[in-house]
Amino acid sequence: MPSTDATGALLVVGGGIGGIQTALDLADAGFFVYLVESGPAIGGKMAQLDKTFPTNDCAMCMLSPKLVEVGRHPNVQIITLASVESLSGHPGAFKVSLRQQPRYIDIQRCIACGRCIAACVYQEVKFPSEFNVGLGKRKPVYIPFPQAVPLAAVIDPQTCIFFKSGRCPQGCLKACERQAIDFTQQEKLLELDVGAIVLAPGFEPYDARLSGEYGFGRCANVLTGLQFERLLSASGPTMGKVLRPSDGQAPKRIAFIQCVGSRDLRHQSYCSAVCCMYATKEAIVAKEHDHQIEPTIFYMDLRAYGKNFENLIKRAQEEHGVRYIRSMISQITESSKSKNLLVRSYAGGANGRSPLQEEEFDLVVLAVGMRPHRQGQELARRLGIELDEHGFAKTLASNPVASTREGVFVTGAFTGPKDIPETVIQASAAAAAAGKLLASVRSTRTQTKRYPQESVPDSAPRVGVFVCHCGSNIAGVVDVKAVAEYAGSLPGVVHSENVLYTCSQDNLKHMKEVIQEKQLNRVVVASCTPRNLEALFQDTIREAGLNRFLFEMVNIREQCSWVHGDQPERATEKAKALVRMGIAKARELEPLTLQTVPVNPNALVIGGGLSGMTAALTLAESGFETYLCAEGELSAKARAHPKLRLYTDATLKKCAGFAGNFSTTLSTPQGEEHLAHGVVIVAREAQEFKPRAYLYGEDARVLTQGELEQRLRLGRVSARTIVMIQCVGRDEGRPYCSRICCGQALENALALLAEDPSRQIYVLFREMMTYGLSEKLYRRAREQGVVFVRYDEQNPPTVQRESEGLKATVRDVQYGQELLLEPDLVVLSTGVAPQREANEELGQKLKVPLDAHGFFVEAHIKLRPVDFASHGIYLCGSAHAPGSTEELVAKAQAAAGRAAILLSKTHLEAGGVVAIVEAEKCTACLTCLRECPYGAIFINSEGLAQIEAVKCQGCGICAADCPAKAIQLRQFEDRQELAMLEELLDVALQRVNA
Amino acid sequence: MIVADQKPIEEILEILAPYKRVLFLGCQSCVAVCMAGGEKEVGLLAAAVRLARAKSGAPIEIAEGAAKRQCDDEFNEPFGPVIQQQEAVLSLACGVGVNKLAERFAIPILPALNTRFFGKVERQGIWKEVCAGCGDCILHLTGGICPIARCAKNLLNGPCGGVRADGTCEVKRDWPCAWVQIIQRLEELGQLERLLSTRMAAKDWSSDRHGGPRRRVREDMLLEA
Repeated sequence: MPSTDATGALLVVGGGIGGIQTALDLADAGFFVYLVESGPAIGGKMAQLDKTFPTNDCAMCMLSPKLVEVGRHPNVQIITLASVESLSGHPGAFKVSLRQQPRYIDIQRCIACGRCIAACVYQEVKFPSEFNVGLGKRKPVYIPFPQAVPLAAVIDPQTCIFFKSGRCPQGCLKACERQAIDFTQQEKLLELDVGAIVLAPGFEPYDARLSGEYGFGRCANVLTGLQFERLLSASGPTMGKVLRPSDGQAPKRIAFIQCVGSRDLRHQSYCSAVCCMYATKEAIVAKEHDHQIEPTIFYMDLRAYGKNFENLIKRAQEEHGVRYIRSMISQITESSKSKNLLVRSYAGGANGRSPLQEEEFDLVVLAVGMRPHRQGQELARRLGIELDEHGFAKTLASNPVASTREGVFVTGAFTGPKDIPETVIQASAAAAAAGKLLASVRSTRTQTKRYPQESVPDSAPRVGVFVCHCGSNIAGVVDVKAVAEYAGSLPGVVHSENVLYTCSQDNLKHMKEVIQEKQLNRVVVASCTPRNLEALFQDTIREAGLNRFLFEMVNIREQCSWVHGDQPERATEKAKALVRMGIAKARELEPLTLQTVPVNPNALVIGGGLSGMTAALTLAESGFETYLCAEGELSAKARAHPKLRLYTDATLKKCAGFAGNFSTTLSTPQGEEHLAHGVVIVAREAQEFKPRAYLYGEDARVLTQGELEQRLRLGRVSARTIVMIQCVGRDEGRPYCSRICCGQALENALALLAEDPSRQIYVLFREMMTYGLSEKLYRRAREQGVVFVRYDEQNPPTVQRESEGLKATVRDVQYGQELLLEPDLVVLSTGVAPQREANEELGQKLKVPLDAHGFFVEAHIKLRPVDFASHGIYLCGSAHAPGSTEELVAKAQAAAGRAAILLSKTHLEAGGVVAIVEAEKCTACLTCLRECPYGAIFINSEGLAQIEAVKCQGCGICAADCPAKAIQLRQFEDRQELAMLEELLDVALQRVNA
Repeated sequence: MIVADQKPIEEILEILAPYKRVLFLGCQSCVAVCMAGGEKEVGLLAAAVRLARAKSGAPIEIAEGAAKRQCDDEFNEPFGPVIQQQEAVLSLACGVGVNKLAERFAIPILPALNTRFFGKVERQGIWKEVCAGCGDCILHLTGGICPIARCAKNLLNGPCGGVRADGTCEVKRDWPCAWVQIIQRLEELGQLERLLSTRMAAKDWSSDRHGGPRRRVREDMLLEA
């Protein structure tokens, strides 16, 4: 328990996607967060990826909004180039010391214009770029990557000639117009008071040089997966062209070698869990970039165990012609002339041919695995937490984010190999666990800002325009004076000026003064992308008493000066046109009011299994009154808590309302129960699939793995020869991989052998999905004599009942022979299947979606894995996706944590940029209601469509599709958008006529 | 609801060729719901026609509007002053709306749509004909499935010999045989016996369109002049 001196601030170590998500969740839930990153920018490995599996969505496009969000969160302080030195105190009241390396650039002043880089004494880029994994080069002064947060340059003292020799003209210093460069910066020690710590140091790719047989580091055309990712990326060294390093030619034949450094007793014995999928993704994406490419993937086991992973492999094979060859590769040799690579693989040796086959490739990509980050090892030592034999943080399955030291939490790849969604789930789980510890001091360290009363514009538009120089970023190309003058001549504009840096503190103050002095009621800023600074400017005009929606931003930097540097005159004309459009829209802007809706701080959790119980307890222990609708018997061990109310045998009858204000009717054996609550968590479990095949249900000697597990617990297994069949049911109603059955089978096999080592166990499998750390089960089972026989999908094993006993046959793919086995016991790995009809019913009541198999579908596969698209409803449990105990617990904690964010607020703001229906025009055609992804639209008592402002996310789909044109999206209304277009077309017309 | 299609743009341009000032008048009822003639379609079509005409060197001035229901004068009346200034009106209503406007206003009223059928929404973007408006309903006998509308041959005693083994129609591939559906449905309802014992009499088509234009009067609701 935290002591009474607890503090409501936390330290998150590691600025990858895991650390970022943890920081955001905690900051949104009422805590102050210090986010510490050892490098110059946050973003981690995800920032380096081109695409993500299994959807092949752009990684940066998903990550970048998160970077921006955390970068400007009022309750997150990012501390870069820093590491933890020591930790003292106790849970709730820790003292942390950090050591921060100098950046030699003042982040507050730097505007990332790049002048310092251009002025560097090194004319050419010379040093390997960390971001491009050595494939590209950078100067000693550089911006880590275009979307970096903080977006500021950094000087690397290791390569900077000033630091090395002291003799440098320091062109950068003179070139910087913002006086941001400071060579006198020193290393700093920082002391922070925090209540808890979350460690998210992540992973580093396995160092492929250690596997010398693959020639990495020696052969120019052997790359790692992460390097190849950079080759595919538009922001990479070749700008997205797949070119091989040795000669810059486009490679045709590309080999991917799986399990490099993984599943290898000389290096890392575990499976890295992501490489099969990332190699498949890279093969497809490479092919999409260049049709000529013929990718081949050499693998040992194809581990496509996650939701929709198999579909991606299928698509790779069928649509993209990716070749998969099951063979471990023991050597790669380079042809000295062509620098091509010879890959020797095992080809089976049928028809008297040599079993070995050699093939030439133009490029080889090593699918290197994950190893725990070196910094994580150091952190563990300094913080006194225990690691496992591989160097991953030690945790319990029952609390997968707690380290061995109280108050110190661990998350992401630091606890084992993980893909992005699992990392994000664990991040939210860690935030939930840390938030639970500090529940009593929530909102004690965060600040809420007060604003003056907003004035309502009652007169005609009085627009103020600020045209930014951005140093020479804009002014170096665009004649900004002419733009400001032009703006001043346009209707409605009463003030127009040039500003050197619109975003500087002194200008923001000036802006507020001008607003008051000239009684501006609309403001236009012509500067950079709204992505980073729009919120800052909106906040500024709010401080001056204007409604924040009376603001319009025009991008004349990224979309003008930066791309038209060679045509300054035309760039100026374009800037004028853009500003004119912005002013036209500004004239049409209206103040939008937000309504505040009180939040009911209670929670409803549906599902009485492990996930439901975990989610409910996490919320109760975080201080929220929680109703657990167990829907039948409670299958998890019940634990009492004063804030937890349990309804066994209850079913959800009705649920109405929206985030913060749901009202639900439960049917219970005692009658109906009416509950009011702010969130819903769907925590249903899927059940073990019951097959019809293999004499199941007909012969007592045929069991499922779940049934065997129970018998083992009771010590009631006498069989001596046991045959386990994997992937049962995948041809009858469970076509997907259930992820957990291989691990479960091997745990049972090992338990059987522990009871009696003389037992003979055969495991008949299609693909062994012992991903991540569960690989050790596979190894141990082989060591202990379990016989593994691989069969292919077309030739499944058979089981017959004969007078003398059971007979099982299987065609072994490896040897091409049929085996006849005589088991005493046949155990079927049947996987799990969701209760489709029950889920459909619940899905309809809550208006949440299901997939074709009956699993619930999350809002976003990568970044919102435990949220439904509808605000205020969350999901966990195996009825979302199958998972191990550890994974399910983390997911339940994560869902509870996401829910706690909402529950910790007293009010929600609704409205603003939302869609509204003009009742007069609505014909109740239902188009909007059918299309709304958030279930925000309903038909009201007058029979017309109405949009619940609290649920509306402002996406605009309904407004675009309404056949009666009855819907407008505020701030993007037709008249506003058309006003802009008309100005643009007018400019175009003038050009044509001239 | 009445389901309609927009005419091909080429045909619309041809219809509009003689005119330079035209009101495009949508209807916010059935044809809005079936995404053929609501206010949104008016805007899209007007923009396309303006472009095409400007390009061909014969610009056109288009006014835009949408009546709540073109089959009632009261909803069209507000557009009267605008219509007075036009050379023609292009109606994006069903044929009823076009007729109605033509009765009321003394300028050419032109159709922008082809009126198709009474339909149900199969799912968004797909409409299907399930009632033919024959004026003599037998749905109580056929399990709620209309053989007049849904059988290509309007058979009263089906299925015909052309039904395929998979239950589809010989006339229209992928179209389920209405009679197979009727029999299945009645079986589910336990009412198949009733069908077998009923002999469907020859249909009196005089209540259908074939009996000439139809008219309905409800005496009790008539307003005295």
